[in-house]
Amino acid sequence: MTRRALSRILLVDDQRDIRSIVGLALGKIGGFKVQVCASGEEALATAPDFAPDLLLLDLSMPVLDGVGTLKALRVKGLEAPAVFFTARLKASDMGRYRDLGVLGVIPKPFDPLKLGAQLREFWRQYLAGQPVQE
Amino acid sequence: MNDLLLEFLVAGAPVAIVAPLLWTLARIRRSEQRALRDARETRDRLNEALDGSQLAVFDWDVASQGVRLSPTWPVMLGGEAVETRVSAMELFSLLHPDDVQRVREAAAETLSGRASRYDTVHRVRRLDGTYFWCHSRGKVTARDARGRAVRFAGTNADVTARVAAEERLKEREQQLRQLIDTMPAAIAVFGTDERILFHNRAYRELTGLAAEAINGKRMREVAGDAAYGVIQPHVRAALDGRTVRFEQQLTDPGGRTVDLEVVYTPLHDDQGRVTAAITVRFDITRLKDLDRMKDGFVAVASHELRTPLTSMRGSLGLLQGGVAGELAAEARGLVSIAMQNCERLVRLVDDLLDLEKVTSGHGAFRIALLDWPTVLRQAIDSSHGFVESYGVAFELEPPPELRVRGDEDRLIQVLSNLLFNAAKFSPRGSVVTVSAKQLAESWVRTSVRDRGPGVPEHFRERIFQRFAQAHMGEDRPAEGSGLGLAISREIIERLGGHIGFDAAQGGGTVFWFDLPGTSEAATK
Repeated sequence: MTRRALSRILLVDDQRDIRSIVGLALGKIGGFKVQVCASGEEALATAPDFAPDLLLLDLSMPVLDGVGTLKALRVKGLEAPAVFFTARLKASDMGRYRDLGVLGVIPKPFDPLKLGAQLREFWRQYLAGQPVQE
Repeated sequence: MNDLLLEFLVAGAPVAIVAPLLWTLARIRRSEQRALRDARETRDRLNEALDGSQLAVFDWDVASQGVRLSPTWPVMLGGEAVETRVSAMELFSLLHPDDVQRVREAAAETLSGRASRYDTVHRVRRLDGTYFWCHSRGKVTARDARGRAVRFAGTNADVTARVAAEERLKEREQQLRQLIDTMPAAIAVFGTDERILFHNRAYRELTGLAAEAINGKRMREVAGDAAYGVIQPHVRAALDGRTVRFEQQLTDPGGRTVDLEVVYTPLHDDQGRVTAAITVRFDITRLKDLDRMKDGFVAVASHELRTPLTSMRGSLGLLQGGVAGELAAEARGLVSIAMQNCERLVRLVDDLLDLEKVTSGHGAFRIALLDWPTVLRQAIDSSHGFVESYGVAFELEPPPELRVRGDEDRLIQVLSNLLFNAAKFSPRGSVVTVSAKQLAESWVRTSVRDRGPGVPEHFRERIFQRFAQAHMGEDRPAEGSGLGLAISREIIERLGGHIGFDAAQGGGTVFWFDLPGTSEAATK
């Protein structure tokens, strides 16, 4: 694994509000290259060309949820690590998704000004070979 | 006849012969008289006995159709006028019309020899026209050379009281049976051999079996091998004399999954030995469904309420961060107010759902013996976020090596609440101290001390109640949900502990909770 900075982020969230907020927070403020998708299906179509460093997936989505999307992306051979977004009360028990390359969880609501730093921290620990729980 | 013989003998026989003969005859006569007297006495005693026992003896001369009855018979029929020598026809005419056929058949069976004994209970008309219940028993006492019945004897007893009692008993039993059958709980009684002795309608409906497939059958047969595997230890426990309660899930005959609460209660005899056990199964499917619905609701409500808040919080955060350009001072102030209230709403939602979860007993606690100094450090570390905004410092008094029995996540939650409160009420630049010590009898007390103004007198009573918040003045609006201490108390009490607070010496307040625990040395 080459040691490089986090730069390309693929966001999958079914809510337009969140897509705009995260797009602004990570793009305009965070300086990342962000690709937003409104569904798991869209992510499956977009991800291979975009070649993200990191996936940011909403856990609860209609049709394909976060876990389903991630599994499908893995089947397609996409290896980028993932971080889940969730509005569920208890976001513990992430351990069982470790095998899917999930680094951790960011609970909603989140602070958009800190989001970039949170993702960089996940990325740093990922590169250090030490996956962390939120 | 003896007297005539005596006269003849006295007149014609020599004294030498006559004297011993006379003596012998006199002896015979005396013994005859004695026998007669004895027989009369026996009869009288018998009649007295019959009198007291409500029993009449009958003796039926089959050839002549004449029946002799004891003097108790008229008493039974209610008058002296009743004959004790009657014809069989007359006797049969006293029978209740509904019983005649039955009694005639029973008598005929006995006379013919097809039945060895005659035994019927029927109604007999008294003199006043009312009926009494007569238990009639008898047998053929003599037959002729061709086997035909000659004499037929037996007893008639007035069993009206007994029959009435039996009727009442039967009626009561029927009422009880109906009562038990209308109960919605499935009830059965099983013996020490695990055979079912009794069951009600709900039991049949639950098992989908007919009564014949239940009564006298073993529990294994009725429950089926799979279900028996689940209930067997409980069946044994009940037959060992223990009351057991457990939950069971079954598929009923209609293919519906039912949740049951099952209670086995042992039944004892006078010596206290277990003779049987009673099983009562309540259908708690609806309760369970409600539970599941509520769980679902909690999850959905959590998600649905947090989703719009996420958008609001995110938008405001971006505005504050200057994504739309530098904000004027007033605009910044207003955005800040909106942000704080948004966060407060998030905490309120979290706390409400959390309190609901804790009080309803959901989210089972994971109880473990916790390395307490580590847990305290962790709680303090995770609370640094709000320390900054309040300008207070947390300090952990070096805790002794203690272990506390509890749920780690929940206790960190309690500690966070206490730390949040302490920070909120402390003057800027002050220190909040966390400490723990071993109390007597394996209890550990954990304390959080602030240097604040103390809990106002009027607020002390209500401080652990839901939505209780101390008024902090206009310049410091309440920022909590008012649920933190209520949740903390629920958690500590569910863990079997106590929570409280005292005024600290030298100012400030100490919030503490006691939980079962040990010193490290004791567990090693």
